[in-house]
Amino acid sequence: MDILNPMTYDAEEDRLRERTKYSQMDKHLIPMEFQQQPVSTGTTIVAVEYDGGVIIGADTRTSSGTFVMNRFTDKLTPLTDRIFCLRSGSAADTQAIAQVVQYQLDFLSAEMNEPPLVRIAANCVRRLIYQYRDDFVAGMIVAGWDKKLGGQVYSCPLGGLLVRQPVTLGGSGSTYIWGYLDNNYRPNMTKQECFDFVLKGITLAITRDGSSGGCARLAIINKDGVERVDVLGNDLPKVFDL
Amino acid sequence: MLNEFNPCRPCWDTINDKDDFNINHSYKNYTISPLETKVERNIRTRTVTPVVTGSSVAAFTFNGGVILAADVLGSYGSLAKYRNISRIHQVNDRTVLGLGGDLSDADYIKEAIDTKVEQDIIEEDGSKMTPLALYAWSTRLMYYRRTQLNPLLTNVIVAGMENNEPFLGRVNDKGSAYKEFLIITGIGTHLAQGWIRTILETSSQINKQQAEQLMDRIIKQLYYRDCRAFARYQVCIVTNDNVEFKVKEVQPDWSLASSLRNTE
Repeated sequence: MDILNPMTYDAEEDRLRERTKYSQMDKHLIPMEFQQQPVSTGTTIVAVEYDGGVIIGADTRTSSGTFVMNRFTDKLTPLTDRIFCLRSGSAADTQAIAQVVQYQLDFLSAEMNEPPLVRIAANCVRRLIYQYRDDFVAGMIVAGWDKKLGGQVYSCPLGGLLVRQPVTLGGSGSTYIWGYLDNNYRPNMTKQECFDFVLKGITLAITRDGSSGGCARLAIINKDGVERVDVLGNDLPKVFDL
Repeated sequence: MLNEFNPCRPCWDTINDKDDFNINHSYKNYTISPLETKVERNIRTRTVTPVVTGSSVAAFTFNGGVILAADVLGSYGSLAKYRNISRIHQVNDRTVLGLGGDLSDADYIKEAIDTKVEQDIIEEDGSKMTPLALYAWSTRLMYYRRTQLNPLLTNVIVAGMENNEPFLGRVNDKGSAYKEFLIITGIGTHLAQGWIRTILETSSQINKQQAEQLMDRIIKQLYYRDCRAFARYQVCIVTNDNVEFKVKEVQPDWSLASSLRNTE
């Protein structure tokens, strides 16, 4: 237990912190404030499926301990034209995974002569996380649209599980909005309702979580393409604040 | 025999003479209580880590007074739990206290000082707490707790008007104290102290309005780069005439967001 990193109830943050002990001597030689904290997209990511596509959203903060490294991060990383992944956990690990899977899917689509299925993309991500499960700290959500099954959301959390869900949350900020999800999500919502749900969820998480902040980046993925929306920090919906 | 039983000690690999019914009775099985100081006995009761924490406090002197600012958030780890906590405490009409770090220890300090102020009022000898006196007293308190290995995990900024001159000083949880024209505690030291010091050193005496604008800029910078910051903050300005409190909201600029899509 130390002053700069008091308790967190988040598996990703805890594993990141214990993994990033570059040298045992650092603890003794360097004062606490100057010890490097792992760079994490300690974050809030949300993905929802609707009839005809998916809506995904994330905040824009990358932090290193309590320092904001990047307040305009883009956590919505394209894997293909119609498949995106949302990254949470170690920034380095998730960037590397996304890069490898981008290549794998690019190769696959050349082989098959058609865009890859979302499930295949999610499986690529999952295989990497599972293979290196003791080393990676990566919790990812793969969401997109394909011709066969339409809009799909797959969750690929820390240990290397693959599970399809109509709606899913990820990242440290997600702990604060599970209740919001349980209360406000209904199946078969319209596109606009889903959009508002995602935006509100991210806003609530940003308000409470210290590792999430900034703006909300959303994307609507359907057969016609990807529509990106950035909602700036001042324009987020108002929530109770006292 | 109860004081000899030590459940933490394995009994399969010790020679158990007690069951030998006095044959070669051995005293080495008696537990010996370790030598320990009062500090070690008290280790379980002291504050080891801060629980509910306040982030940075910024303060500097200007021509005619002192200005302090602190956000109104008490963080519970990374959770922004208590969003309306005042961390600037007015002691009397010319002294204020800015507190950062563990907020329960901050409350303890506030109570201790209020008790002292009440004592002064009761004694009716016309003496009032000055910032320098409060600064010295806080140093003693924080250092005493440090020597007991039971620190108050708070940073205290003492600000006010001393003989009609602005006064600003800081005491930290180790009892280390100093006086300066610019004091920032917490992560703000890394984020703001350097460039603010350059600004203040190179500009001539700034007036109250400029000081407020500069303070707004500081808090905005902290809000951008501190994970534990909050948009609502409290500003306190102490001058010879009065102590003024204001609550403000940060006006952040997010316009770069759209141009930075598809970057990591």
